[in-house]
Amino acid sequence: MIAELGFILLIFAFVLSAIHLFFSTRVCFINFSEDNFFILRKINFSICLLLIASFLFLIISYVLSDFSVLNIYNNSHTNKPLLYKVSGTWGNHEGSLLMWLAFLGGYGFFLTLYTKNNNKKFTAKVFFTSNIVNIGFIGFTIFTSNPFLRISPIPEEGKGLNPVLQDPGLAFHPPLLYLGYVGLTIPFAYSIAALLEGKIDRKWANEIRPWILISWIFLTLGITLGSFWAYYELGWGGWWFWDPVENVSLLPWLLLTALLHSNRVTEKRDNLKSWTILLSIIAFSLTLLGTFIVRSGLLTSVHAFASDPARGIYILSFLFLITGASLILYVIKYDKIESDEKLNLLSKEGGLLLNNVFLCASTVTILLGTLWPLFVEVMTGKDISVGAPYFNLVFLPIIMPAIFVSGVIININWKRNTVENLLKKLNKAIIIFVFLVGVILFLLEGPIIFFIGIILSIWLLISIINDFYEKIRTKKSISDIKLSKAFSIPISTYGMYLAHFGLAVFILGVAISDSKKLYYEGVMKEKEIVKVEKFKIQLKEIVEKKEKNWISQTGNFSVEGFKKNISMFAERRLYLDTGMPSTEAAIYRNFFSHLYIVMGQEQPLNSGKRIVRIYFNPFIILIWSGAFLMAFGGLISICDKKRNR
Amino acid sequence: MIKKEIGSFLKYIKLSPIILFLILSYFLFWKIKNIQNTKELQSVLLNQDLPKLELEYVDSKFTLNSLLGKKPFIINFFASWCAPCREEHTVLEKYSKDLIIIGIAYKDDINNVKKFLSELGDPYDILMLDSNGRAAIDLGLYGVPETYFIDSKGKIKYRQVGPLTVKKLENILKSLKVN
Repeated sequence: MIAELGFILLIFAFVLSAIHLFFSTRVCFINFSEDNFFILRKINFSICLLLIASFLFLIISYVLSDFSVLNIYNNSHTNKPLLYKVSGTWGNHEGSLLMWLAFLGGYGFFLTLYTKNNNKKFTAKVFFTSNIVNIGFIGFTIFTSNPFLRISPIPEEGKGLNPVLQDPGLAFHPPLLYLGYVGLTIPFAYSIAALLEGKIDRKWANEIRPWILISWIFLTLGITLGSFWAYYELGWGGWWFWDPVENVSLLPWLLLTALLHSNRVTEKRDNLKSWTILLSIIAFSLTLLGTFIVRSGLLTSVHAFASDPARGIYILSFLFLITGASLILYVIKYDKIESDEKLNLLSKEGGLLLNNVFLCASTVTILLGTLWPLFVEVMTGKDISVGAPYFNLVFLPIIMPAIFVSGVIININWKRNTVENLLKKLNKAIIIFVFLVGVILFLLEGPIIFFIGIILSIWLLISIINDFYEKIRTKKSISDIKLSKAFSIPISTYGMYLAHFGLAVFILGVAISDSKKLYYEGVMKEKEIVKVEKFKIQLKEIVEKKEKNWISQTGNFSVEGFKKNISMFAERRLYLDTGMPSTEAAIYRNFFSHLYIVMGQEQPLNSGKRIVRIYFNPFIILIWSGAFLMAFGGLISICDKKRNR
Repeated sequence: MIKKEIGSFLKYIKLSPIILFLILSYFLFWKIKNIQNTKELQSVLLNQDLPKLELEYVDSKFTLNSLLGKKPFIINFFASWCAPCREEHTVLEKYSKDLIIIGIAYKDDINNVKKFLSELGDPYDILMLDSNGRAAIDLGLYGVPETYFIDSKGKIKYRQVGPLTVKKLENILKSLKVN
């Protein structure tokens, strides 16, 4: 009964969206009246609530383990803890789409709420656009991926959730990521509305700013959590693998970051308007493209959902229509929205533009690398794959100058600057920077990439401190600091500082952990000892135990090499309901570093020998902490009441 | 003069996003249209002779050699411990009369296999046991269930990774007949 109810609500939402489309077309383009606008708002609210309710009904069915629903039979099991019954809802294609819809509903709800007093004619156009997105996704769910399908006869027990997905990290990684993806709908809707209206001003940029930030924060957190989860759950010892699905989540993030900065220019200087619009259209299209790639099974990846070409065709057609129409609209209205104002390159806006170029170029390289196998296949019929070496080789040289430039941009003023002024402001920073670089080059050793990373990170840190210092010092002398001035700096600037500080921490983590890591792989018997540089690691024993829904084999390792000797437990699980194995890496944290041990299967069988992989990842925690700080900086920026009117 | 030409060229820069997008769309549509024809995971053994499989037979009516090069058949790797194999089993049962199916139990215990087959039915004309995974290595097995389609000349024609469904099996048989 609950499942039918959920599906009926979904159909209601679809019908209402169709009515909304018809009605909002009239309101937007033929005959606007305030009364009609308020009706539109009511329809909006209803659609949003229906979508959220439908998702809740699916969650309830999951919690009750109603195996007469095909989706639940396929992805759940009665002996699962409650958390994984709930998270199982979005651990599959159909359920995750319904979550997507629920988030569309959630965002739509707040959008409708917060635009109550805005320009009504304009807001109607925003509703019009976001409703088209709603229709596309609701239709997709109903026609190709109905999560409420029943099966008969009713099975007694479900098939169980993929064991690697049974983890708190996965419970929260998709929702956060989707909140980021779905959030992009709103800047997109605003951009299309602005194109339809033919007018973009600073107020517009100010209105979309919080939406861009929210989306950016969630996307940052979602990607970070995904990376962390892959690190400790998949047992590959690394934090980023340039997997196609990882890439398609990084693409919108990079563009969103670019959008965040270009929107700043639009907001402050009434410039780069068509660019901001284009970025929000493409960033949104990239999330559709990502959905398409993941759901159609177009590229092989660890994230492959059960693939079905019908779904691929649907989402691709939707992508084609919506992006095609947006870009055509963009061409038509381009001259109207583009400002003639010249942009001075030696200024904050010029710097931000330059940074945008770098960010977009890096997006293009990743997009190219991700889709290259596809192009080659179409042209030559050959199967190739593009791996990490390409991405490291091409992405890093483009993103590095972007990071260097951001340090300068933080310190440069809006409008016109002179080189002398800039140097005058930065001279102390440069002296300290050069000194520190000298010290580092003298004291440390490592590959070139290690130094570049550390230097970039230091540069970013120094430029943040320098800007802060310049803001709080008095004009009289260089050492005269007035701390009370710190209170007059807008909160959003502190958010910006923190986000860039997070970036610096992140880069530091990447540079050190990547170039200083240790790695050992081999087979080990019980009582055997291996030496990995300063570590002496012994596999003491392997204990086999039967747990609630898995058989666990735990390798007990003792490690010498830290200040005190420690024991570590690397587990290998065989899940009873699916028969699938999974590894639980043993991770020992020492300050910011990890010692990471994975115990694999017996090799050869019945020999008592185990495949063992040992990693020492110095300072790897900085990677996720840095990303987390970035998101936190974004959160602080959002809280700035003054900036958001 | 040149400046003017560049200026008029720049006017068209606004068209670049849509043009790039159309090119991209062409590729994506092409791929999705052809996705059914692409083999899911090609085997290097495709169109090669079936490697010699020296395995233990379990109550079988005839041997593999009596079939090889005479009749087309399929080889199905399965295991009693594998959940998707159970699902696939009903499909195999359905086709057991039309097709010659050779079952290879992968890293399995003979008693469990027998229990499995008595519970779900036995679609196999020949049943073999690959207890140490030797045949699996020879064929480059990806995981269970996995199915190889062998033609009447004894060559491997298709490899299906993961469980077969009725729809998939029909498609494969159809495409093999066409060739």
